[in-house]
Amino acid sequence: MEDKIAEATHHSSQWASGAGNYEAQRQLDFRVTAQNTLKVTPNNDVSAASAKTVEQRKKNRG
Amino acid sequence: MTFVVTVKVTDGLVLAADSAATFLIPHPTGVIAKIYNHANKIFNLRKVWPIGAMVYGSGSIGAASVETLSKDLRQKFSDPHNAEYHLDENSYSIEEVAIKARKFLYEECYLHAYQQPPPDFVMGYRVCGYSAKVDLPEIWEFLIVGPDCLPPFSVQGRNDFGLRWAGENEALDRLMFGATSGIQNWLVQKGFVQPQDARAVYSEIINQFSAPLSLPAMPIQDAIEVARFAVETSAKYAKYGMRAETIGGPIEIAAITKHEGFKWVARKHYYSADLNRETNHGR
Repeated sequence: MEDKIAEATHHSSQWASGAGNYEAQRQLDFRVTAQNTLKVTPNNDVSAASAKTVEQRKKNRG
Repeated sequence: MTFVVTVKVTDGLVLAADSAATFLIPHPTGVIAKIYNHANKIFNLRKVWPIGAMVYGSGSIGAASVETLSKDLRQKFSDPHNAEYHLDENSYSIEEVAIKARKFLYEECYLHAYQQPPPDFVMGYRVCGYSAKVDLPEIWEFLIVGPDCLPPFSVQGRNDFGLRWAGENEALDRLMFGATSGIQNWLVQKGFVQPQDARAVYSEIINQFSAPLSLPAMPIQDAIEVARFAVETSAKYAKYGMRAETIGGPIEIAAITKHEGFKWVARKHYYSADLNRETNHGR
């Protein structure tokens, strides 16, 4: 019985699991580059803003 | 059992874990799996400081839970008279924290608790946060496997960003990699690839079919949501799969940022905060 209690005590501590495959997980990482750094203005809004600016310049030129 | 994940972004990092603790009890008819859903697997290793830790694998060393031992370690880190463990606010590093955590948990607790270490013992301990006066966080980890525990290794350096999960990995491996890691053995057994090529082929499958969930510059709130999603997904995979529900219970989440330090985002208490107004756990 004591052996069984000792065994149960040991096994009771197990959350039986393992380390992750960190080498593979690393493959999913994005690298910080000029292309993926934080953009606060969506691209389409930038285009719209640019179009407005061009239009305004045309008007200003008369 | 366990699923733990960290999500590291430029603004900080997020730690998330489930709360299931599985007890495998030998019985004349086999092994009974008894599951409790209130284990604590995330710890703040120095109150408020931007240093956290999480555990997977074994939840206790000898008669003490890793949670209690981690809080013992926190006391040592905080004690200015403890030259061996005290952390200097102006010069500590996360690597130093990991080395001292290994020294305490493995050399002092584990080797003392088990004169003959159990051969099937596995415990991973992940230390995360900011070193003193540094702009980006980092993650270190060490593993106790049977009698052995190698020095802590770097899981993510300051300039690495993304998810790192451990514990019962299957659900996230399938979702993120696009294939279970078991496909390597299957490809070899079927004769589709040579054993020495299996790893490279698996790597190529990941390159083709992986589904990243985070960007380095994503806001910390979104990193929190991604971490929660990862734990929820693994828990539901365990819940609805034809297996024991070994990932489950409340999801605990903490965030560590440079200026806010360690903040709990989701946490369970065994007592009501309204009935216990103390601010320092009675000390």
